[in-house]
Amino acid sequence: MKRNRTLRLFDRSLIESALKESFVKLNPKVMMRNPVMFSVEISTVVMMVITVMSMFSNDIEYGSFNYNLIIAVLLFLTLLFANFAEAIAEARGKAQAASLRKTREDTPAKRMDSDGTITVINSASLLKNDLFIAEAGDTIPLDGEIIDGIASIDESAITGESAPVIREAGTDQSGVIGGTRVLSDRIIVKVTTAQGESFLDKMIQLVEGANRQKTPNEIALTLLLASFTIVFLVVTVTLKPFSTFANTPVTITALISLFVCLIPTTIGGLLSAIGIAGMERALGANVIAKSGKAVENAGDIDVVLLDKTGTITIGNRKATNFFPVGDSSYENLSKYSLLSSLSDPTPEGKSIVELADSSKRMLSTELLEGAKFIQFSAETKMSGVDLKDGTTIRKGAWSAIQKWAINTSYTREVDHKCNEIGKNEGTPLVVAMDKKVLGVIQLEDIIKPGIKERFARMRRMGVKTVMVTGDNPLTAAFIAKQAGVDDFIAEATPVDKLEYILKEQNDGKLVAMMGDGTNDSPALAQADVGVAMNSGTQAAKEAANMVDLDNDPTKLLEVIEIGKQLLITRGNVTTFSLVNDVAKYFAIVPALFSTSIPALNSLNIMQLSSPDSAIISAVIFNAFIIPALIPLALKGVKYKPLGASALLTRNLLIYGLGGLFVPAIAIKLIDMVVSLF
Amino acid sequence: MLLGRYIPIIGPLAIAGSLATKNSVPNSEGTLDASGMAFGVILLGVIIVVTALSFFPALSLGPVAEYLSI
Repeated sequence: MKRNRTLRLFDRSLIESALKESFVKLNPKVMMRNPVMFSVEISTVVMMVITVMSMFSNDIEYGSFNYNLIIAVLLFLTLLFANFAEAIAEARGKAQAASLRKTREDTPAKRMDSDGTITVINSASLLKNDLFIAEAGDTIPLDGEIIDGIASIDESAITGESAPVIREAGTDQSGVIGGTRVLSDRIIVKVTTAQGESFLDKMIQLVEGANRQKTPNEIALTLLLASFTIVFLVVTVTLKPFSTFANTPVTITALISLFVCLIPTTIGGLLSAIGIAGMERALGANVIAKSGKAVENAGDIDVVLLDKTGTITIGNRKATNFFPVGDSSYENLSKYSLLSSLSDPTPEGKSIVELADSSKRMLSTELLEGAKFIQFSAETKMSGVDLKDGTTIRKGAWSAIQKWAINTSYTREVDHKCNEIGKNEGTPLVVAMDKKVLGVIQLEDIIKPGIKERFARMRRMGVKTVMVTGDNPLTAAFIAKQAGVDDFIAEATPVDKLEYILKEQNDGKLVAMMGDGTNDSPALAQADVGVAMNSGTQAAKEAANMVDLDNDPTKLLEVIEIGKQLLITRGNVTTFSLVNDVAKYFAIVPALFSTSIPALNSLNIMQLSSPDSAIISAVIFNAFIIPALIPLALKGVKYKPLGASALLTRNLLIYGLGGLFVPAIAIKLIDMVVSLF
Repeated sequence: MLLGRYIPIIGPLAIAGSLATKNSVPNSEGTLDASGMAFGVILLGVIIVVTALSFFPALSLGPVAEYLSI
């Protein structure tokens, strides 16, 4: 079972640390990275100066002290709320990562020196490229690659998957994770990442404030917001001379309030929180992303390369049918297939046991006493069992059995059956007893349940699915059609994968792929989004830009959705923020001028009670909408795979129209409360 | 004059020039059709809203106030 680690939306300890951070982040050097909120910070300082000055002067320019104080406090709150949003997103990200990291600390390690002596040291003292031994019962201290041996490992601490996995040197499954437990055998492991430098640590740096690089999308959006800020600054500043000319003096307080309400503070304050929350959702899906850019790019992927085995089909062929030939009965065939497969460790053998009547299993164990099991070999292409009483049973490829069996009276029948099975893209396995053919077992590739629906969903998202397999083109075509993939590469070598990716990229498409072997590295590096399985080789993990802890080949779909969700959330909050301005205008502008131009009161469509209360209500709304939208920023907008136009229209209707009416209603309500004082 | 006239001309031209040098990405399910109705309406809406936001305060002092005072 995959453990989806989602934090409760608001965790007590997280909130406390975030509150403290909000004040720490007020440092101008930190605020400068966010032009919108920096402008608010400057406005707050100016406002405080004005407040102090209004205490001592009765000049109408400065307005009343109480009024100024309220506005100054509200502006300060706006700043704190924005910082809080970012701080709590960071805190959640760190908590998510810390829960992953917890199991790796301070485990004893058995370091092996070059002469073979073993010293027990603290895992913190292990350096990169050191060798250590792990035996049954040991916890693996650090991430590494097995260079000798094979072991079964319990990875539930990291992945939540309780079924043990096999890791072996020299294969594509040679990676081990720090914090997991060895269940059997003994392996020699080379440390690939020293403590503090694992991919997880790098990802934690990505969510922590100080080292966080802005992704290209964030930079673009920040530029847009900065240009809006400049435009609105000009609008507000030019209002002063206009108003003087029109003989309607406006206080500096009013102008500052107008400015702060106009600039997109909602998205300005929530932008970084949305980005961090996206990374945190990736962590919650057990994917370690090496950069925020990778997660965003995932949202724009056009083509996805998936391996057939393990992704689309359930790893190994499964027995689906028994076909007796000649005078053999179904019972007989099933019984002898069972006998020859009970000691068969291969998955095919196990599936034959499953298919055969389980009630016969009792009988069979007796019969198998003293029997000799014949292993499958590539030369004989057969496996089977020699019973104590001399009965010999074999199963295997038709060509091999044909040579072994003497009684070939059913040759034509068997030929026919084998061809039939082959046409349906299965593999025929012939069973013979005492040199007489009994029948044929049909083995088939089973498509994972639910795959077809997932691919349909991807198609609706605009993503093309490509199946990569080593099978011959006919088999591949059949499975491709069954699973519903758009395209396939048959008899694929690693070079084929790389070439396919290059071809699609030349057409301007973004390509994603999953891989685990060292021979996948060039393709993984070339792909725009490369996901390496954590059980894979270190080379694959280095080449990729994301690592999947669950080793789940369909994880790519979730990564794509997280990426899209991230970008859409940003867009929606930006829309909401800007459209809010319309309603705020209708609150503030009449308030600014209606004392000297009473006719403008007809613009006061929300019927706010007084200019002062109107402005205060608008500023209150502006401040409090930020924490109100924090849950949305952290959870992300729900993604529905419609076409682009439909999705855009739907989102614009919700957040655009919502952005018009929500502030209008909210400001009116706040005004009713404020006017009571 | 410089700000109000030339920057709005030079700006978009620079953006267009920069986009022209970039690779074109082929259309897919996820592409927003630039000639579709949805795009047109959205574009119009954005232009109106952003322009109104920029000019509304100044307008309200001048022409709007005058009109309402009559």
